[in-house]
Amino acid sequence: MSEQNPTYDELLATCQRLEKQVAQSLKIQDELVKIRNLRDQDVKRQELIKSYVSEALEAGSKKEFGIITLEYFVQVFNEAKGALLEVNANTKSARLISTFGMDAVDCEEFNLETLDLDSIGREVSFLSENRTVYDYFACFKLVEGYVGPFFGNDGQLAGLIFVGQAAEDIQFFPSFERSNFANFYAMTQFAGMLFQNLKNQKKLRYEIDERKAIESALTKSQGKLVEIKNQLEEKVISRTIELEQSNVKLQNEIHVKEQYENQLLRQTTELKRSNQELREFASAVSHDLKAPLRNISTFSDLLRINYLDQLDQSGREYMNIVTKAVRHMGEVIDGLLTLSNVAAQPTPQTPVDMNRVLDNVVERMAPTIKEQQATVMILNKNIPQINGNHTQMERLFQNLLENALKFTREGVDPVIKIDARREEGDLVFSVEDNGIGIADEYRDKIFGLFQRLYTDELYEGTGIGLSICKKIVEHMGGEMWVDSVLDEGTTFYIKLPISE
Amino acid sequence: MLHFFSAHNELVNTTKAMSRCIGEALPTEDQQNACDVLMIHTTIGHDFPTLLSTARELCPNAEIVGCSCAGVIGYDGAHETMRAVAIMAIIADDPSEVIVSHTDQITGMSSYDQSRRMAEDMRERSSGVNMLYFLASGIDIACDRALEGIESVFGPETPIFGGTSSDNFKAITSFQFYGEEIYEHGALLIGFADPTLRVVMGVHHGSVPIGRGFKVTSCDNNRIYELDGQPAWHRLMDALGFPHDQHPGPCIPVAGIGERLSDELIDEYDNEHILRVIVKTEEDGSFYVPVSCQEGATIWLTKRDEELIFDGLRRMLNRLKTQIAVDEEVVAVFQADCAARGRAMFDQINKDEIISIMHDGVMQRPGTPWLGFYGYGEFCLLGGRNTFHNYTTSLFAIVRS
Repeated sequence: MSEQNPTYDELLATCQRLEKQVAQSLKIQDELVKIRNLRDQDVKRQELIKSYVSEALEAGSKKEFGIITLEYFVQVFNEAKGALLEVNANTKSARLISTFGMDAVDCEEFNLETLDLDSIGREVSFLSENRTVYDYFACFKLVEGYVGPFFGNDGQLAGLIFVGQAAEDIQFFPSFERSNFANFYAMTQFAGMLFQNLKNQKKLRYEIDERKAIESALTKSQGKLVEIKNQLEEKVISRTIELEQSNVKLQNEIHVKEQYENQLLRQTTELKRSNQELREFASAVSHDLKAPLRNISTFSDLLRINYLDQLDQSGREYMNIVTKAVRHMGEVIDGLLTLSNVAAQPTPQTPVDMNRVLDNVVERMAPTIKEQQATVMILNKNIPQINGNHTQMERLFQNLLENALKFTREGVDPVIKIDARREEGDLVFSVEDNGIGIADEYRDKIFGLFQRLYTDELYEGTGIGLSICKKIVEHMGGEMWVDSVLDEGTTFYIKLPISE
Repeated sequence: MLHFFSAHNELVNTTKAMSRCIGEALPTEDQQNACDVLMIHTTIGHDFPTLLSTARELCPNAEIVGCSCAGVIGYDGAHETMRAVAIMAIIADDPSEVIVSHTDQITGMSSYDQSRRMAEDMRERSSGVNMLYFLASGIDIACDRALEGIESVFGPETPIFGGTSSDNFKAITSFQFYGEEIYEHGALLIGFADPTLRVVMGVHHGSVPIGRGFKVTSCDNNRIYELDGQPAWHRLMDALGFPHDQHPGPCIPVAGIGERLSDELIDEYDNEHILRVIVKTEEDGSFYVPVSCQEGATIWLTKRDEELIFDGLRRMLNRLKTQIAVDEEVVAVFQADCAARGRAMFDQINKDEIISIMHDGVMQRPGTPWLGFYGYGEFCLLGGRNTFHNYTTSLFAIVRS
């Protein structure tokens, strides 16, 4: 080109050269932008790595740690896929902790016996440049990627981090820059430290959890104990109140009972005294009456013997009346004495052979039975023993037999049946006659003292006999009642306890 | 009346990422059940089936639409990691206020017919649609023909805004979502029929042509065979110093080509050239551009001009703000940016500054729902006409009067 006046062609050539330089400078401009962007990306990576450390520190499990770690690795290095393996250098085995973006179900466990661990090295390496590792971990199907080992406190291999791309990712994902090795190495080391920390934490957490569980169990037990204690205290208080109330009630009842007992005692004492007085009175009366009666009887007998022929008809009749009255009076007094004696006897406890009692009574009454042409049948010849007083038992049945022989029907031969049967723990005697019977309205009266249904002219008597019978039975703890049909007969029943 | 809710995150676990997005945008189960349309943009690293099934599970009644992208933009900036996701949930008082139509077989030659069919389907279901959000495949669609297809039904006066899907700058394939279906040649049309709403748009790029340009000597619709009588792609690669077999993906940031605008649009566009991206090449050295080309046209390689980018963005925002009346409220913002305007063209500082300028310019209050993505192209009005753009930042403010 001419220095002074360049020709058109020279100018054109210069322009074309400049054009080309400008056009090609676009490439340089592009490279510069790329360099500046790499710088920007690096700054961002550092921030992400910092975030990774703080987030992974919070991981509560290996699984969680694996997820966080791989998510950060693929983000920091703009990769498609990733895998994290835990290596046990002692057992020469590896276990898959987590994967990102790929299915690695078929390769969860690795036996490292056949892998030369030295081939992994201690630095980050391209999978494609580390054929041993590449072939060994072919199941990840990464056609491009990097492997970063990390080590435990003992310096032994503790884990491996893979990131990379499968065939289908290559077209879109950027290629890994060797300049990233430093960041990858640094992040892998962080991952190793965090993983170790997690294991320590896990142990610590296990211990803490165990302790918490024990504390929780203790707290629960304590709570339960306190609950039981409170329940017991409540129960004690409740029972105490109930007891106090019960005590008050009992005190009142005792007080009332004492009052009753005192009253009863007083009444018993009064009754005893009254009975005693009555007995004394009866005895006194009987004896005091008997003495003048005996005089009357004696003198009336003397009068009848010595002066009967001097008396006229009326006088003799009067004399008979006196004699009769004296005898009746004597019988009444004897009856009263007997009655008071029954009450005065102690409660009988000696066994009494009732078969003998009845035989004695029938034998003693034989003249009267014969005189009245009566039939007396003892239907049960094997009567058990009872507790009682032999004499009183004979008096009881003699009275009843006398009654049956006394209240007979005109023209009817008396038939008297004596029977005994067991009824639970008792013995029930029956004395049945075919006499005149007792009207219903008098049935309750017959056991009353001096209760007589007929005049002496019809049937002689004192009105004391059945009272004595009932008294004897009750004194022995038994019962006595009557069943009768007028003009057909009467049956007296006596229930007495059997002697065991 | 339509209500908008947005959220985004960079969680790498796909289920967690979508669950958290929906949980943040629609905190209550009632809201999730009431969601009528769920728009999703996600970068390429997420597991799409899981992403969509999670969305379906949480928003059982929503029409799910979306696409893959090179990055998402939320109210706090851009997220261009391999796994970033953003959503815009729309709840309608009346379900007929938002209608979705879709196709799964849109390519260069069928762009007009498929778009027209979608538009007709939508028109049959609602007569009140007053603006259209259009998402389409970003690799091999003829976007100008697609716009014509939609306009043939709704008329050129109905504003169409949106963008095309992208991958991770690989220019291999991009994905569109409808329900739980994943398409590679899909397109989605979302019709808004809320009479209280209108859309206010702004578009800008900051690139300038370099050199004398290349003459298109052979082309057919959107496929350019030759530049300056040479295989088109080889010619460009020679100029850039790349080998002829260079894949177009890595060239996207540097191989944007410019086409001169008509004079009446230059002021509004703040630039003399509209840009085209090359995302697909053929072995014969031909390449595709997203719009039809004419033989004899001149195209230029372009380079970004930082001053024009920042100053022009402010001017664009000022123009946009003047379109919003004092009594109008910005209820949501959609943003479609060229993938090249992300990390491929800017470092973090520049990118953050650009986005913060946009936020400050449009958001009337903090937390305005915002859904943006880095795609391979943008649909935005220019000179009152629906136009397809590349390498731009395009803002769509939904305002309620």
